[in-house]
This record gives sequence, structure tokens and C-alpha cells, in this order.
Amino acid sequence: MKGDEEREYEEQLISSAKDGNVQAFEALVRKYQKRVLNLAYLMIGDRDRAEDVTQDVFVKVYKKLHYYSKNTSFYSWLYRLTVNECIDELRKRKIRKVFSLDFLAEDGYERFYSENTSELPTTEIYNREQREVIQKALQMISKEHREVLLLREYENYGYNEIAETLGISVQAVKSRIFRARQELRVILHRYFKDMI
Amino acid sequence: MKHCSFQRLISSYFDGELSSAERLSIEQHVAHCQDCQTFLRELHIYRHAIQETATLKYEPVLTRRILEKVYETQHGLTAWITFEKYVRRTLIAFAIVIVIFFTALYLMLQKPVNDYSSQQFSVISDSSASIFYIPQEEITKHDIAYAVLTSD
Repeated sequence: MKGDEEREYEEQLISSAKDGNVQAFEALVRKYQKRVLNLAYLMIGDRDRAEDVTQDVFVKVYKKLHYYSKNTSFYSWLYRLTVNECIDELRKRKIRKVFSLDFLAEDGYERFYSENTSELPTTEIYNREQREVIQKALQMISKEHREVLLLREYENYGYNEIAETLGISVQAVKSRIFRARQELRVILHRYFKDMI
Repeated sequence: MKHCSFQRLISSYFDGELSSAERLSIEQHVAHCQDCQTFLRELHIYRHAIQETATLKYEPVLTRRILEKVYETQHGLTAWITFEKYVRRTLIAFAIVIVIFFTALYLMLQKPVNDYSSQQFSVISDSSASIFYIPQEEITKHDIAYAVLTSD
């Protein structure tokens, strides 16, 4: 019931925003900004760039809002816009080049984080390090695997919702998630070996 | 069943996407398989780690930045729409003037000008020596009589 009310309210916001109501658009930005920002951050791996992408995504939403139809969920539409924007950003700046195979070398993690962390408390260093490791690992897996994995692990979408959002079959979703996890496992296994 | 097939199913099991029969079968297998237990534990760790990574908080500063950019775009669009309207109206007004001008010109060229030299006229003058030019077919008997009476 609450979900229905929320959806109805969201549709009202979208409809008002389409009619040029700026307050309604602001409400949409406030509602989804954090999700879009975190998604962009996971996709790109750089906070500043993720903020730029978030900004660009909402400008695009504003311009293209009249193309949005009620048949799909607003967030699915927003998600696709965000992912496409992130892919463009990655392509433009060729961020992949930043990640070298040194990262996976025996002392790679240690060398990577030895700079600028001496002042921080140990747990903070660890959390920061772990976030960076996950970021880098996500950048190293393929785009198709990353987007499906983020929809599952970050957005907590079910297979049907993922299939609908990405326009692929449920079987493909299942398969991509498994392969994404396998890829991630190869990259992260050594880093997390003490916890496993 | 091969190990990787189990791992595929474990991946779906972990996501809660299996039927109850499949779920039961996986649970029975995992209870005795060290590798699958490790795999399942890893899935938990990676999910948690990904969720922990996406912890950027809501930033009002970013909202402001976004909205400023949107307003900028909106004003850009509004300015363009206003400019476009202005140009469109000017063009329409100009087109109307042109049409009126050429219509008038056309009508003027079509209507015969009273060219007295090209028509047959009778000259009727009155006592005060005024001269009237009247087309022949329009001369009445009264005009002739008047002309005769007043002629010198």
C-alpha cells in the first residue's frame, strides 16, 4: 500500500516536472541523487567524476523527461541513463588505462595504499583501502558484468527486474551474474583470503 | 553434477532465485562440500564489500550544483524559445506586409487607369468656360441640350 502511494506520488512529481514545475523536479533530484551518485561512483571509481556524471544525468533527465513513459519504472529509466553516461565518461577519459596489472602483484595493494594513509586510524585506513580495492576490481570486470552485478548487489534487484531494466532474458541475467562473480572472485580472492 | 554447475546454482541460491526443491538440493550439497561453502562465503563478503563501497552520502551542495545546471539549461532553452518566437513573429509580419504589397501592386496593374487620350470623349463646356470630359456613351440628351443652350 505504502509502495503504491509512493509510486503515485512519484508519478505526480514526474507529471508536474514534465509540465515545467521546478519544485517537482527538485524533489526528484533529492530523491534519487544519492543512488545515482553511488552508482556512478561504483561504475567509474572516482568521486569527482561520479559527481560530474550525476550532474549530467539529471540535466539529461530534465531535457528528456517527456520521453519517459509510465510503462517502465522511473528508476529503471534513470539507471539506464546513468549507466550510459558512465560508459561515455569511461570511454572519453579512458579510465581503464589507469589500472595496471601491478595492482594484482604480490605487494600491489600495499604499495598502492602506502601513500597518504599514515595519519588515519587503522580501521579507517582499512575501510578506505577496501573501498578502493572493490572500486578497482569493479573497473576490471567487463561492462556487461559490472552493470548486472551492480543491479543485483547494490540495487538489490531481482532477476526479473534486472532482465526488464537491461532488456535481456532472465537466463542471460543469471548467467551474467554468475560470470561476473567468477571474474570478481579471481581478482579479489587474494585480498580477502584472510576473511574466507 | 559438476562442481561449476553447483556454483551456478549457488549463485542463484544466494540471490534467492531458486525453487524450494532446488534450494533444498543445494543446501544438502553445501552441507558436505567445503569448496561450495567457501564460494558461498565469498559471495557474502563481496556483496557486503560492494554495499560498503557505495556509501557516498546525500550532498546538498551537489543538489544545488545540479539544479543550477538545470536552471541554466532551462534558461538557455527559454531564451532560445523566446528568440525563436520573436524571429518567427517578425518573419510572419514581414511575409504579411510582402503579400499585401504585391496584392496591391497586382490590383493596381490590373485596374485600367482613366486614360482620356485613349477614349472617345465629347467635350461639353458650360458658360463659365469649364470643360467637362464625359465618355460618349454616357452623354445624355440633357447634357447636349445644356451644352447647346450655354454655348457662345
